[in-house]
Amino acid sequence: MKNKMFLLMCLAAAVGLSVLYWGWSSRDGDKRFECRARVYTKLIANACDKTTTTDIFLSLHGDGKGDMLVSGTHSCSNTPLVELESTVNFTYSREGAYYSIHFEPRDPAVSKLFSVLKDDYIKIKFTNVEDNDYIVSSPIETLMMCTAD
Amino acid sequence: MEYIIEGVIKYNSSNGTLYIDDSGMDMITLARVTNEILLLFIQHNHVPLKRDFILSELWDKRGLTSSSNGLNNYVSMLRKALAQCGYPDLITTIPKHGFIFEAEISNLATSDIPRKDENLVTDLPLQIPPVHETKVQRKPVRQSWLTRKMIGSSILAIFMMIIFLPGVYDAYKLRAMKTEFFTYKQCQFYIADDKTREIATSKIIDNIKASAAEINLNCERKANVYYFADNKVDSSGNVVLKDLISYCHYQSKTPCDNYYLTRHINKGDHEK
Repeated sequence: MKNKMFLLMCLAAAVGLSVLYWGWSSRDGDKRFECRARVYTKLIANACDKTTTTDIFLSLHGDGKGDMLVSGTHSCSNTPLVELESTVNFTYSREGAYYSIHFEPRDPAVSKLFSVLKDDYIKIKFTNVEDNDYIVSSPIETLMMCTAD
Repeated sequence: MEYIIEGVIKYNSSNGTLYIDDSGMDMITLARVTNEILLLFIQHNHVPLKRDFILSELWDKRGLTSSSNGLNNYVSMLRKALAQCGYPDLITTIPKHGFIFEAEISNLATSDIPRKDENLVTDLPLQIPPVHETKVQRKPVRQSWLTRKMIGSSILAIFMMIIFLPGVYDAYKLRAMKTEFFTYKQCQFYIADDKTREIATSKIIDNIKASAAEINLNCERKANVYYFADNKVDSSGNVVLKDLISYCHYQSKTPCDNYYLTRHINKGDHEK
């Protein structure tokens, strides 16, 4: 009887500790998340056959604020290369599986490097597919894959 | 013959009574079989007794019909009697084995002969021989140690399982998230969204290989390549084919390279 009680109490303790551990490990709302990606685009048969090469660093600070560092070049077949670098600050909140991101005022030209930045408000989701690799997608399309730091 | 159990309970095996001096409790008289079971337990104190052995000693050897349920009932009655004396835990059930009685026993009289095992010499002194004591005391210690070890192992196993289960689930989820499409040199191509799965055919493999060659994917080193396709038709019938090939270095923190290939096909071209 004593052994059974002891076993039950130990099991209860184990379950309790595990629930605490799960709760602790799954509270990702206040986690810092940073990832990097390089995006190449090639538009065929549009007005200028535009190509871009962009390095992106996305950082969610964990306090509802974040920033995106965008650096790269874009050009058309008949225009000179344009080089741009900009940091776009934003605020965000978690809504289900998605993060609602509200971009602060930014250089309009930066959206030519990364079209996601043409809107003031976007919703994105991060889906882990490999140890450090995440799919970044909006509710409509996949935006890119990035590698977490 | 009289015994003192746990230093306080006076037990008279000849009339089956239990009594505690100066306790105010009434003398308990045990039923005949219950009394015989207690006597057997005392004679085999600290020794695990097989259920069959008890049944044989108390029933079979006397030509009576034994019953395991009957034994349980008598042991239960004995437990209640001992509980009335304040000692409910002297008898422990050993699952799939039998029972063990563990108590401090001393004899008041020395003339009677304890009924030891049939193989033991019958005129042993009433005090339990030290050799026997030493022998029997080791068994419960070992058993207790084994039980604790088993309990400890079980708890550890459950604890580890609970902790690692989410990890196993996550690993399974990661595998389920992506579908292996094909392998080209050292590049493993995956599809990771349902939209692409719908349009993915063997013909697309040729397109991806062509695109891979166009964007100079380095498939000489190990990498995971994810393919996303999206075909959109606008209201005027023009088609936008958007392919995204994401090249991620295998087990590396080098950022993934994303290649967008967007083709605009006008309605007229499409119809051709």
